[in-house]
Amino acid sequence: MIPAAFDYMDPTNLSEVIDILKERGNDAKLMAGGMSLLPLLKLRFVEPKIIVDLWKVPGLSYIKDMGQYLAIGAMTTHYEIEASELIKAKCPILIEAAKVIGSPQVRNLGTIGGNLVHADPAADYPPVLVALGKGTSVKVQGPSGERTIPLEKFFVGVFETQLNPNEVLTEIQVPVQKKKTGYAYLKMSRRGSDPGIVNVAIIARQSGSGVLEDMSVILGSVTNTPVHAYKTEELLRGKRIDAINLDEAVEMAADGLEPTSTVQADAQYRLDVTPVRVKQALISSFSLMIH
Amino acid sequence: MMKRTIRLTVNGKQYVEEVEPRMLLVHLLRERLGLKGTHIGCEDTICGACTILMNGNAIKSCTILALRADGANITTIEGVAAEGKLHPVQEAFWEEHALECGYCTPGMVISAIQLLKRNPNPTEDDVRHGLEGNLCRCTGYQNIVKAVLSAAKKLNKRTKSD
Repeated sequence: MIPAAFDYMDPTNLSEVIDILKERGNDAKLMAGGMSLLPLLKLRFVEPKIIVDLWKVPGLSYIKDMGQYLAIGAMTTHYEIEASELIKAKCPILIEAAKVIGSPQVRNLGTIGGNLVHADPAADYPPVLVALGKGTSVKVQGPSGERTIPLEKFFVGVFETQLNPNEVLTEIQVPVQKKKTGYAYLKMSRRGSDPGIVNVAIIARQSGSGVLEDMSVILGSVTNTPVHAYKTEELLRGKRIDAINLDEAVEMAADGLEPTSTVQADAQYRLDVTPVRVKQALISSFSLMIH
Repeated sequence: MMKRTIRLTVNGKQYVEEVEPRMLLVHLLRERLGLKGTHIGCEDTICGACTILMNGNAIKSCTILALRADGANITTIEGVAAEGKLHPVQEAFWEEHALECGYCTPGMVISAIQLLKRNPNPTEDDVRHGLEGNLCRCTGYQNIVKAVLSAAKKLNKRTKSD
């Protein structure tokens, strides 16, 4: 399980990285934590001619309070996010995702940027970031400069994002969770570091009169990209929690979706399990919302 | 594929090595430096038998390039017992019979060391989750969990009397 031979570059600044991608973009693959790339290299599922390692590029690892949102550098590790007091205070649902990625060893090296650009359908951050809504975006840099992509449009397909081959993801922006926001991220996997089979991210808020206003129910690992459980959201929005029929609301959670079949579970299993997990996640998020 | 020279410290000793970019750290440690205590189980980032400490963090050495060890401070299982005296985690593994074939043990000990450094008073649940990255085919984990909880007590007693 040794990778095919490759040339290795570890530039010391971002513009050098972009230059390399501009010239040799088709032959090159960026490496962040390597927690997704290295297993692929070792199995020889990918054989890039050049690996461009980002580990020496300064200024990509940070968690900053920008007031209305938090700015997280792409090379910030899952452990750094898990342990961040700032994120715990301002965007705790992100920690719920970070702390279940892989295993403790993987979390020491794996990065949020790497996780997002890899766009594994079973990845943990994507459903959480989609649940956080319109305030979530990513900053990318390329030969033609910097652009910001709203997160809800970022994931296009299996291992496919809106990132161009010569661009580098540099920053993730997440909104600050408002006070008394109910949230939950439930991952279902067979063993410790297995990928999730059905992942559910919830953001819920009540208005002053006790009616559910913000209501995001996002399913991960059910189809190719994170998706809204639209019917469930519709049935919950505008209602008081004591007037909800939870079983009715979750029954249609997977409605209209074509779940994938994978080694972990087949489509029918995902269809059957989704309402159950959505119900558990809703209960968990409501209990945070009302306390 | 151009070879590169790296400088690293392993268990307090300094090494200068020339490596191919695609060389994995676990192979550098085992084949080049002769430190065979770090084991290869799955080579696929799942089993954790290859776990070592790099700059204080437990990482799976089968899933990192040797080049990334340039400038790093590494501790393998051979470096855990300070001056021939067993580390409290090793002592606890022995006393609680937390190993049978011993294959997962070096990785387990290293992961346990990180776990206890970050959480000196773990619950049983904390220990079971904290060792998620390390698989054992022999013990069923019961005694490993007991050993880590026992090691926590030993370490806490030690810091109290320092």
